Amino acid sequence: MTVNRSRLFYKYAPWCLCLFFVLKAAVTGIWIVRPWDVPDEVGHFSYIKDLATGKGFPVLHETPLDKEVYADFAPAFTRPGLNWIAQHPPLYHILMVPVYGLGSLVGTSFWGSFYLIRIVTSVFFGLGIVVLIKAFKQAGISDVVALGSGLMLAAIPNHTYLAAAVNHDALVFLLGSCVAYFWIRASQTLGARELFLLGLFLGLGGVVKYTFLVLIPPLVCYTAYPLWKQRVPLKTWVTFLLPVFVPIAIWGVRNWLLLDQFLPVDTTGFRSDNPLTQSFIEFGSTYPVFSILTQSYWGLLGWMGDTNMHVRWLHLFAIYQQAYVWPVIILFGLSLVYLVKAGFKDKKHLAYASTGLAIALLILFLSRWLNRETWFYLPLFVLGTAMVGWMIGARISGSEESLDMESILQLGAVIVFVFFLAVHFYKIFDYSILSGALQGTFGRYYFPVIGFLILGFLSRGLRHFPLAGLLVLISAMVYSCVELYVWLHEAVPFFQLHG
Amino acid sequence: MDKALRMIFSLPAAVCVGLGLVTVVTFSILHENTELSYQTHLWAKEYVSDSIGPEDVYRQVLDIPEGLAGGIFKLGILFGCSDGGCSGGLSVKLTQGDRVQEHLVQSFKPGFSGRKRFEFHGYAAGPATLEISGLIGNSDSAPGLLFIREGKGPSLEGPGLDGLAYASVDWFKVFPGEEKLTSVFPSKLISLCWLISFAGLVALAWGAMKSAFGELRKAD
Repeated sequence: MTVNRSRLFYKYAPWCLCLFFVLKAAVTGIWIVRPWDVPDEVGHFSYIKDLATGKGFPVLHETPLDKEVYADFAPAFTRPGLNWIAQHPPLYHILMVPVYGLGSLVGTSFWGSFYLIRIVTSVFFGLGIVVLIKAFKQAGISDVVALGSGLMLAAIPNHTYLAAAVNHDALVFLLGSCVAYFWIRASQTLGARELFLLGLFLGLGGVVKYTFLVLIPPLVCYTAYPLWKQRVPLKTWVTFLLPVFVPIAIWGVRNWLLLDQFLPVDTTGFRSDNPLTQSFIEFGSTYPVFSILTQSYWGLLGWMGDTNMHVRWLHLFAIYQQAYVWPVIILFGLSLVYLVKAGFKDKKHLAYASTGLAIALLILFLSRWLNRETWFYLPLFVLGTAMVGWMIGARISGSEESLDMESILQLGAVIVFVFFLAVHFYKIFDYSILSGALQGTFGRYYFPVIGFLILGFLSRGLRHFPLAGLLVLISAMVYSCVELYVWLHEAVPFFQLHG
Repeated sequence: MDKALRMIFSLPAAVCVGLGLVTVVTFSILHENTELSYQTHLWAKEYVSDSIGPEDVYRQVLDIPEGLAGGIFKLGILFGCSDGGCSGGLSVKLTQGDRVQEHLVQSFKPGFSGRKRFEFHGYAAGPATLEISGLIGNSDSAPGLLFIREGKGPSLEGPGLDGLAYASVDWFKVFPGEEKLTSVFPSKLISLCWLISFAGLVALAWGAMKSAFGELRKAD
């Protein structure tokens, strides 16, 4: 390939990837995944239908699911229950109103709208992958490795499944990718335009799903520090922060006026007569939370598509999970190796970073939180913890090595991801204690921070390992074949089992 | 070397690799049936019957679920072995009107896990009689049948059962491999579109390998 042809290839390859991904997800969403067999799909579609038909925003604890939708979802049950999805902010649903209108031109039922929304949602996800590829390149990862990483992301069953769904997770993924991209650019340039776009996408994400708001404290603080050091003018601060807080503030005030709560959440399903009586530490060592999160990230298919309101899940077998996780473990390991290698240049750096690593691992082992975790996920958690410890130690050392742009971005991404993980873990604990059983352990909640996970924990290996390109491309091919196997061998029969 | 790499990772080669790989994977899947758990027995305390001797017959009328009618299904029957090992054999028979299908287990292998699946096909929805009997030559080390005390409908009959008992039976639907594509996609064209999307992703990865090798050489 000549330089020009190569450039042309990398210009169009992400868009081809997007096209193939959307085609795969759309066909899957139309013919394989039954309606209402995606988590909360009935609630999201009812929300959109309420908006599209002029009923206005559904109100939490007041508005029932749409009657016509409910009649298809659960024909044996006559009275529609309340729409718990009304707790979510409305951006995804508002964006889908014109799509609903366009879809309703096909036939007299709502199915035209339903499937068109599934298709448009898959475009969001495809674009999210393209933006992430751009973000990786912006962070200094080569074209080939960035494309390979995107191809790996495009071949995860959960991504295909949730992309072609009436569900806001795909938009969360797209906005999370945009935030990652503009955060990298803003960190590199501290330019007003980049800061504005970072703030805007953060703010927009917050009015798609509340979990997105968890990104705000670490990102704003981490970005604000260099701004404060550079003494940027007030106008820049306003340009950055106003779009972060205005969208959610508007939605919060609306909630306050209607429900006396700023960010109301439906926790009615989490009440139990037998709550758990465990401390936070005990909880962590009792349940394999991290394994469940990782496992469900690759694929947790199904929901309530059988019209009897029975929740049915298809968990990916361990063999498939291993096919997905081992390449990631190798990349985690490589990143740690290159972190340590960089540390050898400076004795102080090495001493601080090693101490950080040792303390982090000591805390992990003393907490006994790995007690119940699945064996093939253990290397991932150990390597991840080691990297966090190393980077914190290195940063405290204040060495030059820890102050280059690569290290700044990597540490920032790690902070964002770990903060998100910590908040989510605490929410899992909180809800599980209340309900007496493990709650909220869905890997899809991590869609807003996938870019940060890759930048924080994988990027160093991806940048420096000479064989990284081959590794990610071969992994992408393996991922694609495994995904085909999962869909055709497991998911197709599963979705027809109780049809 | 450059020429060879250029050829191996050229666009036509990438398309061929993508289509070839996806074709191989698809055909291997289409030749393989999928077993899916359809209905499991109640979560209750389980008991094990006496060893099933040569003359012993355990019988229970089962209700074949609507969703399994006409197709292939498997019955997962749980057995218990004393002292960690089983020897001897069993006959498992399912009767519905004129339809009778029987499986013989001549000997249990060491390390037997407790549940065996037996395949049946072509039964209608509704009652069918399951009979489990011991083979000639069975001794005290023959397996016993696992059962529970809670259940609905006709109960398990057989030697040594004291009170109500229900065999621990799980149902599995067998999904024929060759129907996997045709059962969901209304036409071959749509199946092809779906498979091409996988092939396209593989082809992109293959096509990008040229640069990966280029980077490798630069690093050298």
